[in-house]
Amino acid sequence: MPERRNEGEADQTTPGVTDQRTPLSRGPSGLPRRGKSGKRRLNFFRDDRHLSVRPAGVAVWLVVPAVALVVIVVGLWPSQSTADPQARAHALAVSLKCPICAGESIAASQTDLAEDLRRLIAAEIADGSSDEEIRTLFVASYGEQVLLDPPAGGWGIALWALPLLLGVIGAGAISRLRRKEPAAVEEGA
Amino acid sequence: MIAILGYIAILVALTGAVTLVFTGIRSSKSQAQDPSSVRVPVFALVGGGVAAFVFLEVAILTHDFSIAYVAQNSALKTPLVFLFASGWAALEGSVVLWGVLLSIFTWLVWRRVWPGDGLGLGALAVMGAVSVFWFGLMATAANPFALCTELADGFCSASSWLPVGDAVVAADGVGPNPLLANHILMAVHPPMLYVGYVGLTVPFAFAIAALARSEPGKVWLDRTHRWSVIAWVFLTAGILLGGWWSYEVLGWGGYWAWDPVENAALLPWLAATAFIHSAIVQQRRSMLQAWNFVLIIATFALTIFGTFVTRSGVIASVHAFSQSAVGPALLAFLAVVIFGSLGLFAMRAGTVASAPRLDSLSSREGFLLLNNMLMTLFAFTVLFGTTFPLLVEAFTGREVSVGQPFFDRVAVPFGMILLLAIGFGAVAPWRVASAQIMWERSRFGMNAGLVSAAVAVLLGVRSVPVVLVVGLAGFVIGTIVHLYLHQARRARDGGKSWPAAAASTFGNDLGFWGGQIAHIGVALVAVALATTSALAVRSEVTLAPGETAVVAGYCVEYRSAFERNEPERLVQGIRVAVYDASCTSERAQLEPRLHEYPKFGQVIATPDVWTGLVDDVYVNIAGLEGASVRLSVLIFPLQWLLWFGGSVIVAGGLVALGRKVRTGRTVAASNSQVDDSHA
Repeated sequence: MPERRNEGEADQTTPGVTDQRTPLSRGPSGLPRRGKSGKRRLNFFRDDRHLSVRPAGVAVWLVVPAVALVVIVVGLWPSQSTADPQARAHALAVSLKCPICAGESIAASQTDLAEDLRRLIAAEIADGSSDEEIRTLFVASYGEQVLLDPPAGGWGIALWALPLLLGVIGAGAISRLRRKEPAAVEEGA
Repeated sequence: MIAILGYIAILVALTGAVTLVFTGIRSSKSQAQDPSSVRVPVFALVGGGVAAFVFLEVAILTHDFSIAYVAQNSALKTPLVFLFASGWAALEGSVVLWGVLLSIFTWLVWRRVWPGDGLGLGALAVMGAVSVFWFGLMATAANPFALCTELADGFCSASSWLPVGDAVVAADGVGPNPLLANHILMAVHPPMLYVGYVGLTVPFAFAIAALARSEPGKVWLDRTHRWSVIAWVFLTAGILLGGWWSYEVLGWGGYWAWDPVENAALLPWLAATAFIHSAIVQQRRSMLQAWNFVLIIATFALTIFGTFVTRSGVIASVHAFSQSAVGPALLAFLAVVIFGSLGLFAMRAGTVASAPRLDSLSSREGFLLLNNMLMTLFAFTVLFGTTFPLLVEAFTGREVSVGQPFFDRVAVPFGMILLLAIGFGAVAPWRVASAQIMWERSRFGMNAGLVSAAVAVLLGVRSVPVVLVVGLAGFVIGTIVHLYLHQARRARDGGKSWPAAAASTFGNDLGFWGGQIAHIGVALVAVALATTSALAVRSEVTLAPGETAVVAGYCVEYRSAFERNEPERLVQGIRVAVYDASCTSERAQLEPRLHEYPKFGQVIATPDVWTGLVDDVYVNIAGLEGASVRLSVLIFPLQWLLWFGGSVIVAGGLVALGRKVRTGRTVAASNSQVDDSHA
């Protein structure tokens, strides 16, 4: 937690902070808008006694997040060991295409075949088959296109690589948007 | 008779559209730039468009089965609301709906064009050009008034698209596709989406006109801001209603399956969302000028792409309800839009580039840029994933599929980063935000996030992703609410009463607060997406009458069966009571049904849902086995939050419409005392 300070000081001690107003407080001309009363609207968070941290508040601000963190960590620590078979069956059904339907998964389709295949998945899980074994079984019967989750190898790499590549290019483009010279303090935008 | 009148109306609109292109361009270049010079073409376009729509509806409502479309998509016993909705339920009708909406939007834009407004006239010419395509399609390959000339097995076919010749009049029509006539939402969802699609034509038209006239700058953005937001609101509502329809009708409790057609609706929404955000950056900081042109062109192209996917059946999908020669026409139009717009953009590239003027990534514009990056990258990934099977098959001949697991895995990290950007973006000042400022403004939200995550854990949630999303949503909502209370408190310190301070804080910047309301909606939707997917319980039980079963804290009892005849369908249903876990206090009685449509040989299971404070109990008939029934019982925690959060997003968009933007008209009007009585 930062030490207690008020915002007026923050402004002076933080060079480079040139505009701390809300979007609202700046008119199209770049000048601060005036309220109906003609008074200049107060700057956001400036001279603000409400946000400043009172001594009694420090305890709250420290204790509350600490307790929350402990609760979260302790509560989630024993991670789910074995997934419930019905949830597993559904996850598998979602990842397998219904062979006779137009773009529907086995989980979504209401056809009799999909119904049978859902039962097959449940039976295989009851027999102790792994997810991978069940998928292999489906590929053997219906071909590769039964998999709605493209395998990470081979052609499937393109599916991941191209968006990643574009993300890198995009990040590069954004960094090129940055101003070369330091910002002028007042700019009549 | 109606067929000929309807066809004439289409031709009138088409003539109006063609004339509008030429007169629009001419008067936009002329000295006077007089909007009354395009009055006749605009009136012909909107008059013809509306008349075509009305004639089609009249033909359907009066059961004129000499028209192939009417015989194919409606029947004597079709309930009135679905009869009306038949007007856009299939291909030709949906083209008519598109056309009539576009003509009305053109008319509304024309009413807002003033003398001397060359940009507006240019935009009207572009809208005319788009109208030429749609009404041209209606006059040829997708004529809704083509006559039924051949009747085989009750199915009509038209030998020619001209409404002349000897029609075979069937005694009764085939009726709408059972899936489409199964729920009232189907009458509302497509028109909503279409208003969204068509509305996005307006900013596109202004962008193209601005490029063609070498008039970059932010005028076109200021003038189309409301159009974009209205279109976005309708698109959002349309997608939401589509999800709701799917949940209520399709019987597996899903609202989103990453089906190609669903993706096709999502893509323009993602691009439009990015556009609305980046437009703000240009309006405030004069950055991203070229990028905004690219985004609106992409958005419009994606609406056409979406229609193409839906209507061509090129990508197999449950939604591709119709296929025809319209596919190639749409593809050609898509190519014209993409290459034409980008060609124009390339010609003007020198004039539209804006200087690099980003001071820091840690600033409002920095977070808006992050939003743009996420939205466009996600849109690209969805587009790539959707078309990937086509591409692989085209190049290698292999048949592959890309579906829900892939998209889910991509969407989750995108969504989480987006929530972070939303929270920090709300409090980041323009230009530069120091770490100190960001910490002070967001620490309340961070604590709120931690506390909400802890509460979720205490309530028994053990799924890591759900706790994470709850924490992020708590952060977003906490930050925004804190910001609001803070500003309101300051206004009160300025001497106002609490209610006046709260109202003025809000009213002074409707654009900003509307956006923040939408962001709160996004956070709520994120929570609902997480809980309904990760915490759902699915179970199948077989029950004889009087038997009960307990599923995840609810007890269901099979009470009795019933049967009834409804128009066009046979209904077989059962009554199921839902109790608490101890099977003592009754919560609701549900009636899941099987709807049999004999004419189509189709049986559609129709689920029934009870919505409690926390859970939805979703009951569907999986099969009838003698006296007993196989029921799938699904429990979806916080399902209602998805619809509620979605409504909050829509409400936020509506609030943002109140944002005040100088559109140039006020300037023009005060400068020249313009009489706008032409409107």
